[in-house]
Amino acid sequence: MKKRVVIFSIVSLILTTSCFALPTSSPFGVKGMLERVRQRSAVFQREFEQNRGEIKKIIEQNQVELRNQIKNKREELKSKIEQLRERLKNQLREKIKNEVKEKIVDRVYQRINELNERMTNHYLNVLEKLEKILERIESRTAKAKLNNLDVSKVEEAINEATVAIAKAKEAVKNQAEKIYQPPEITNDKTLKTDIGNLRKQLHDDLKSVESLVKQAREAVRKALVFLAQINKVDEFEVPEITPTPQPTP
Amino acid sequence: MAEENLEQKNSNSNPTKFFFLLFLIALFFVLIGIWSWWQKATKTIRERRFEPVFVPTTTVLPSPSPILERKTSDDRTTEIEKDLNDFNLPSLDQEFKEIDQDLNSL
Repeated sequence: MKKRVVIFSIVSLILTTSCFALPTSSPFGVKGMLERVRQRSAVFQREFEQNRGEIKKIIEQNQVELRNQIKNKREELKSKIEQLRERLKNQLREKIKNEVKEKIVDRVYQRINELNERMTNHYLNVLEKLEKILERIESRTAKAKLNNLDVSKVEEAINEATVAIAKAKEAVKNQAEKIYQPPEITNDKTLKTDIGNLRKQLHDDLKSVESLVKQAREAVRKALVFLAQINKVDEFEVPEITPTPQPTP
Repeated sequence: MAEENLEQKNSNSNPTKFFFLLFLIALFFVLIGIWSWWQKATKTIRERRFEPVFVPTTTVLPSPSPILERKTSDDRTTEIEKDLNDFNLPSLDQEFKEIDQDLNSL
């Protein structure tokens, strides 16, 4: 009898402890704070902060991973770009026979590749910051939700912003790993147009990536606007004992 | 008569001398004992003096609640809005300026 009581006590203790632990990150990606508090009626402040720390860490790890992927790919591409540059130089020497123009075209080609790298780095920085801002928005939204406030609009906007950021990041990655093929040099007359086309191609590509980054920023702003519309939202913290949230009709 | 007196004196002083010697020896051992005890006692004090002072962390660290409050302040909408407004995307046309200058000189 005593043995049974002891076993029962141990099992209950384990079950109680597991109930108080918030679900951790899923293997498929970052599980946001809202998702973590969704199935819970009560969350301790310490737990909430621990989960936030964990989410931030996962976000940073993913960012470092993406940066390393891009960096490694760029290292691979460097030699290929150098080969293309040499080929261009040879064509210029053969068909243009003007040293000044040769140097200008070579410089333009080099600048096109450098600009692509610089701009994609910049866009990646912006997206990383947006991701961190969205995590802060989600944290505040989770606090509001734990205080029984209706955050459905903010939740929807957060989901849209997450998708927009992911889409923009994918575009930046593809753009960063792109190689710009120098045009076939035929003669002096078409030289400016040929190089101009390459410039236009880069401009158009960067413009479309920029547009996605702007869309992501606007999506994050929209989530923030919806959040700020909740009355006195900044005053809510994780409640000591949280009542069960009522389902919204 | 004088000889007799001298003998009596000698026989009286012998036990006194013996007890005095015994007293000195005993005193010597007592002093050694005191000295060794003193050495031991001061050794313990010296060792204690160089022991690291253990300060219990619970008394030094502030209570967890104020730390948590400080950490959560970054998710206030006013702070977020401020950071979001700091984003600046550079003008693409400005970035292409050098390339365009080169192209125009062709």
